[in-house]
Amino acid sequence: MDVTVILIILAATFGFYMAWNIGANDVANAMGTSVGARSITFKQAIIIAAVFEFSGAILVGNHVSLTIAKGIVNPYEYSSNAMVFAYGMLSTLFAAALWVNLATKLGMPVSTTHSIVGGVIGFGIVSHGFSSIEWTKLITIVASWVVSPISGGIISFIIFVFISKFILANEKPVVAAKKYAPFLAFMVSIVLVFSMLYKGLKNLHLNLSFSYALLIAIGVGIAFAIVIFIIVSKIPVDTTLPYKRRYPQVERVFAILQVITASYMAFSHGANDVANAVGPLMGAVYANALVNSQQVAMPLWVLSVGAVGIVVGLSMYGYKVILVVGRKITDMTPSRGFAAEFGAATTVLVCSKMGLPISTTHTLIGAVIGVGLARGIDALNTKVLKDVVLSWLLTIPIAAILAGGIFIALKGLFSL
Amino acid sequence: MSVFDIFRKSPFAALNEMMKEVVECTDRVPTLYEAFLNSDKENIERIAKEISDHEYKTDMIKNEIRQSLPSSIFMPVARGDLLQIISSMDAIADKTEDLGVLMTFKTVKIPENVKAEISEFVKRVLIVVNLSKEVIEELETLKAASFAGPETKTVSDLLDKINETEHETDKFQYNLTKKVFNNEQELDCSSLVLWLKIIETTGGIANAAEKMANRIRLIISQ
Repeated sequence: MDVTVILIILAATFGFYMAWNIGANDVANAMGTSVGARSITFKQAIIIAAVFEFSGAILVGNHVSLTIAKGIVNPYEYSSNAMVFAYGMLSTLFAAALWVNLATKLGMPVSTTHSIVGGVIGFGIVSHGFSSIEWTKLITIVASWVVSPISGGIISFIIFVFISKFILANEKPVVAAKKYAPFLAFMVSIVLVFSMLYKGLKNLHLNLSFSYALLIAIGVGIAFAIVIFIIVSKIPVDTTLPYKRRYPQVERVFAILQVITASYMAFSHGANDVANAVGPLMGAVYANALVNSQQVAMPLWVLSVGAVGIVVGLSMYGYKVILVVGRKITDMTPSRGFAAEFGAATTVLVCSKMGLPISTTHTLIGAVIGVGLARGIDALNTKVLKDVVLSWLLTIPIAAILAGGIFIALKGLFSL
Repeated sequence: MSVFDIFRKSPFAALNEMMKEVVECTDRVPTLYEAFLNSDKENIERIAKEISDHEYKTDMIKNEIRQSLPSSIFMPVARGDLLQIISSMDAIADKTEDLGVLMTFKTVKIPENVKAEISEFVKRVLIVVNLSKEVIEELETLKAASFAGPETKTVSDLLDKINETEHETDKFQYNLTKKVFNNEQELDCSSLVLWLKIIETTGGIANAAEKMANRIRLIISQ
């Protein structure tokens, strides 16, 4: 068999495996807060995750994937031998798959995103020295790792302060919740739909202009607002009840809204994390095109490998993890979950559009802390922040060394 | 690494549980007094033992809560306030246990002019404890409201009532002490000392409950 065919099969297999792994393990983080808050049932979570992870991956997944494929290591450096680039990307996939499994077994904090980025750096340095790395891009990416949890935290903090001030602290909290619910639904669905349509449909060869996309988004937003208005209007208001019995009604309103933020979260997660699987796959399979031309678009089939892989991983194993994570998160109420998910999903989506590979889990942790700072959560474990930093410091060098080592081995094996 | 790593077990549920045990102790105070006033040794011993058992359970819960509160924990309330609430809550149970033990030491004569007033005193002490239990129960709603809005008003009204009633128990305590002192011809020396201790300890129950409740004021004033 031709070496190129073997390479494509290997890359596709490992790319699919990485996507499977994301579906099996990481999707639970994106869905956990919704399931934990009991806003959506376990079954609904699986359906929402499958639909929105898939569409996020297909519609917005190309930006981050292209960053991984050609943004960190400059493909032009490899114009004399595209196969080196292809094997490098393959090594990245091997190394990341290996490290993610190993670290999980060892109970170490690990993020798929950081493993992939570390892997790409590793093979880049080993094959073409430090000059092949796009340092400015890399610094932007690393900065985004620090900024994204903070940004998730700030947005969630503001949203929860708003909820707390205008709804929870209101004399009539249920009435206030019902009043603001359509507005909140409108806001979230506009962001979600707009990011789906604007530049998103390019992958499906249906390019909408900015204003057209915005118009449709507003239309859908209004539709959602009306639907939410109708649903929440069925929640009874009894202003004579003691507050003890009124707050559960408020949370019922947020439970409905959280269906939207759960979808938003899954969509953003799919959009960012699919790159960890298909970015290197793209790099490996389209090495020839990448090293010669700047204008290489993301092929739909590559994104589909990732999107399908995520959904398959989710349906084979991920649903169990969602159940476990959801059960463990008991302190989350829908209003807190809404704020945290809104902050995290917005941050992840913006980063995805900017082509920045970030960790959804870290962003969500930042978002939960943001809600906590607004006095929304019973007890937070601040030691987790140490793990977050540790995962940056550990994963990058280890994944880099692994990828470098695997690259050298492959190079010997195929005598490049 | 998973999102749930950021969450720790909430200490608030255990707080309610602990308060329930504390009230199990204090709810036995009226029958304890009744037995004491009737010099019913058998019943005094039995009730004192029951109180002591519940006090032990309170201690167990207290230790559990403390163990779940490392300094790395971040809560919507200051860790110090929470620890203070727990130790004051524990003090309510401790004082109640002390009262039971004091009454088992010896049966004493009851000065006639004290009898009526003492039941009023005990009644007020229990009101303070039960009101502070209500405050602890309101914590759940207070949390749901993220410590703001009309719910804080409900709680601070409760706190005002606690302070007021506790002040009344203080007045009863001084009055009773005065009366006991002025009954020296009726009471022998050891009975006098015992009576003073009993009155002081009973008042201490209300004091501890008030101290606990006042910590909640700090939480809602944040």
